[in-house]
Amino acid sequence: MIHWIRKLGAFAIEQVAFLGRCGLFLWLVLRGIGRPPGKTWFVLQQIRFVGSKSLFVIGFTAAFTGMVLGLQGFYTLSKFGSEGLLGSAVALSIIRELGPVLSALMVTGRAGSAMCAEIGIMRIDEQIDALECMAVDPHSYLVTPRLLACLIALPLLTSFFDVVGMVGGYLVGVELLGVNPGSYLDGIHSSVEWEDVFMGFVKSLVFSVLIIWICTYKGYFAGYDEGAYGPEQVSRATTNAVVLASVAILVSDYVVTSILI
Amino acid sequence: MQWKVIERGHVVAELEGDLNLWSVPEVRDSLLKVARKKSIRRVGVDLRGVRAMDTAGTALLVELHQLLFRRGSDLRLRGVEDHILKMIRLAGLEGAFEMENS
Amino acid sequence: MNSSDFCTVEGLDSYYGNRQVLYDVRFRIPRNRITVIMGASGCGKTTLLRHLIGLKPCRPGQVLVEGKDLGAFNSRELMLYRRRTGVLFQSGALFNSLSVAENIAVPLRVHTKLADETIRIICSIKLHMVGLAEFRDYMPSQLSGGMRKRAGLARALAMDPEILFVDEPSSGLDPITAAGLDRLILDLRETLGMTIVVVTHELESAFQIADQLIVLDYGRVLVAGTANEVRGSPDPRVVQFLGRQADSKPPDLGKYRASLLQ
Repeated sequence: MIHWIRKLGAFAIEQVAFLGRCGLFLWLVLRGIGRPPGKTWFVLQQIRFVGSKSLFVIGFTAAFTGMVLGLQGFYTLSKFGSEGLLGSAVALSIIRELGPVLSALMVTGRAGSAMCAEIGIMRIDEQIDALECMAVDPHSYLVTPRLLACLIALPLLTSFFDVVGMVGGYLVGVELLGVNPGSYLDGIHSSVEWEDVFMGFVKSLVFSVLIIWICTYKGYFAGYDEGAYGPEQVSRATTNAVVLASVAILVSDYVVTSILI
Repeated sequence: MQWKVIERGHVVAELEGDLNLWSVPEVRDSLLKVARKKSIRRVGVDLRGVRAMDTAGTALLVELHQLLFRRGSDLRLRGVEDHILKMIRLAGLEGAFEMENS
Repeated sequence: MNSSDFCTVEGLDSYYGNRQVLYDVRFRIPRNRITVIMGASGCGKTTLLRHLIGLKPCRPGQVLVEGKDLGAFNSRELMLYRRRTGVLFQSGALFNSLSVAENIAVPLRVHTKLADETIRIICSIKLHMVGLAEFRDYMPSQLSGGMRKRAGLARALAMDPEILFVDEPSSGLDPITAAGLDRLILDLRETLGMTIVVVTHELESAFQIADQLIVLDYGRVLVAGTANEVRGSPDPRVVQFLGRQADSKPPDLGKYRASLLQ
């Protein structure tokens, strides 16, 4: 009996320690903003990695998302005879929801997993220990620039997604299915408000923090739980990071939407 | 650090204290500023007052040497004691600097 | 503790979770000398090293550095301590995305206000000291294991540290390269009077370079002293370790036989 209580206690303590570690990690990363060593060049490199190099993937995803929205939207709206509203439907769905969420998921899969692996490999090769022994805070050296880069790149990628998606919807709706181009574009113009764009923007920022926090944390503490530091731990950390970050994006999507709606 | 002008175009810098990672940036600024002047043909560095020198100090001497060499000017070191010679030797640069006894 | 000691360890116990790995470890690290911590794999020597370099926290009163309690250092004191120490990790731990010279430059750029040109020259000098002068622009992945260790040593020496910690210098190296590294370590003590702490399980290296040897076994100090004192130790575990004798019978023969035969 006592044994089970002891196990429960140990478990509870472990979970609290885990939450503490996560919080402390985020705090140290945020504290690194604006402090030396200011690695502006590294931030720019990361913006290129997270941002410019994802343009093709994002564009591709956005085009097909827009196109399938065009198809499904037309099908649904035609049941009510409201095909003319296709522009509004596609635009609002993309700007408020699909743009931010799908961009974030793509970035997680691409940049998030790469960051986790990179930092995880540094961990198992004692490079992070080396940084600490040089009195260089690994959080501000490794993670903070990546966070800043993502906070800049993801909203921009989301905007790119939004535009390409709406074009995709246009191509299918207007060119393929015969919706009036005027109604499509007018629909966008009249129904999209600042609040919609703002919602998409806020989501991008929230998702950026989550992606970087989760992916770099998993890499940073690869092997910590097991006390073993090898390639298997890095690979496991990367998989967990991508899954956890994706789930976190979807959950926080609901939370942010319900707050801002 | 004190500057002594020996004659036209020849100055001697008398360094004092520790020549290390922390003190080198400031010393470097003054040394290079003078060494870059067109009228300077020979720079002497008096190291008698230098208590301790580390690799940064050696690097400073190297840079000074490079700068003067390229302009066809001279660098002479004075008052080089054993602890300084040891650092120069460690860097594989023994015999690279012209020394002067004064 | 007398002033010729850089550091004293006084009753260090260490745990990983509930598992104790070091038991009441006590010894001194004298200045300007090479101290070698030796022992079989799993004896706790790496854990001990991690405590000494501040990576694993100590409880107050267990490790004193120049009379001050390492376990009670605040972040500024810890930073100052780390600035004065250089650490060479087992694999070199070079940063993969930076060239060898840029690796050496990292601590200089972060902590000092030295000009780029000065840093460039310092890196060249350090590389010369470890025999890698032509490799300054190579990436770590282009170097052999021995070269990576030497580059790591150059980086550990970047700030002209007063005390150098080396984790398993000879591991993974052929005897010639290992001997070269030993020679380097001895040189550093001779020319710069550096205080050096080496963790190793290689007997030959250890006896070559050590001023003081500390033998650990299952988390306890068996003997600490000069090479001759250690060689003359009557402790059977020490004799076994030095004689490279395998354990004479497997730890738990009874259990093993029972699990197979019953």
